[in-house]
Amino acid sequence: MNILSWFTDPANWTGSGGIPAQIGYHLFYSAVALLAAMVIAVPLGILIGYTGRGEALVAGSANALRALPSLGLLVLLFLLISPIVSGKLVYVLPTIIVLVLLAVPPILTGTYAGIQTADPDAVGAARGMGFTKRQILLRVQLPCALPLMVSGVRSSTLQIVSTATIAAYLGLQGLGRFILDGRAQASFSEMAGGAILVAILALVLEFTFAWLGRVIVSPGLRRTVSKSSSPISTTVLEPATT
Amino acid sequence: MSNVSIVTMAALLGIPQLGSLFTQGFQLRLFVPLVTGIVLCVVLAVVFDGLIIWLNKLLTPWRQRTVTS
Repeated sequence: MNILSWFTDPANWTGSGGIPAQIGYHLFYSAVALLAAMVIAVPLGILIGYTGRGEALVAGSANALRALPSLGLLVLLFLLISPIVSGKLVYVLPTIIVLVLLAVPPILTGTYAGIQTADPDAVGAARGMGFTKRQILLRVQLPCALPLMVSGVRSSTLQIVSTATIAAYLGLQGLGRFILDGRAQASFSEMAGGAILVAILALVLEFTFAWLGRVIVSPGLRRTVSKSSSPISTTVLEPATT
Repeated sequence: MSNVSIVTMAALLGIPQLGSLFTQGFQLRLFVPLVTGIVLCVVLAVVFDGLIIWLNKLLTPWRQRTVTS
């Protein structure tokens, strides 16, 4: 097995171009893009879900964004930015922007859909107890929206991690290096190794988010929770099935 | 929709299709093939989307309204 020997070759595991270093770069670009996307998408999603305005506009533009080819966008941004900024930023900035554009729609949709589908009974009960609108948003609607928000972040993360490989096309580091360099040297085991590493990384992150979702989501919102453990919270706060 | 845009990645491996316009634009620092590629890609995605909606309508005539996604 050539791929196996590529993985077990110690030379591939050390140095600045080694597997751990490239995974580090890959995770770094992905994390920056994910954070930026969340900073943009979560407040916007809350605003849309809360006011109920601009939903059609956002859904439409989110669909249009999906049709945009990431690679073309990357090169276009690079050509647009290159006369303005200098240094390494000229490569990093287009990559991050492309990844953010990719990651915003799922988080945005998850956030506003989560807030809109928050159980009306729970919202009504909170209002009856004298909650202000702000309290309802922060203490009822947002916790109810958390499962959908987390799943939005999850699908964004998967897309970011797999698409971050194209950073290598501009000459940046990351796991895409193995794929493109392997292609250039006709070393198919290196290409396959890079692809496998990306898949493993995506799976690990997926499991991490699944675990995170279980930890931060209120127990009353879990659909699998047994009715006998806390009958009141499950019946009141169970989100409407979408 | 996103399938059409992902296919362009294959240009990185040298498989010729619309994405080849991107690599060409990058190598020559030219905007024209680049923008052409992006526009064609979006047009293709919209055409496919329309085709699927039309096919959906054709195959499920008992439905009054087609579900848009």
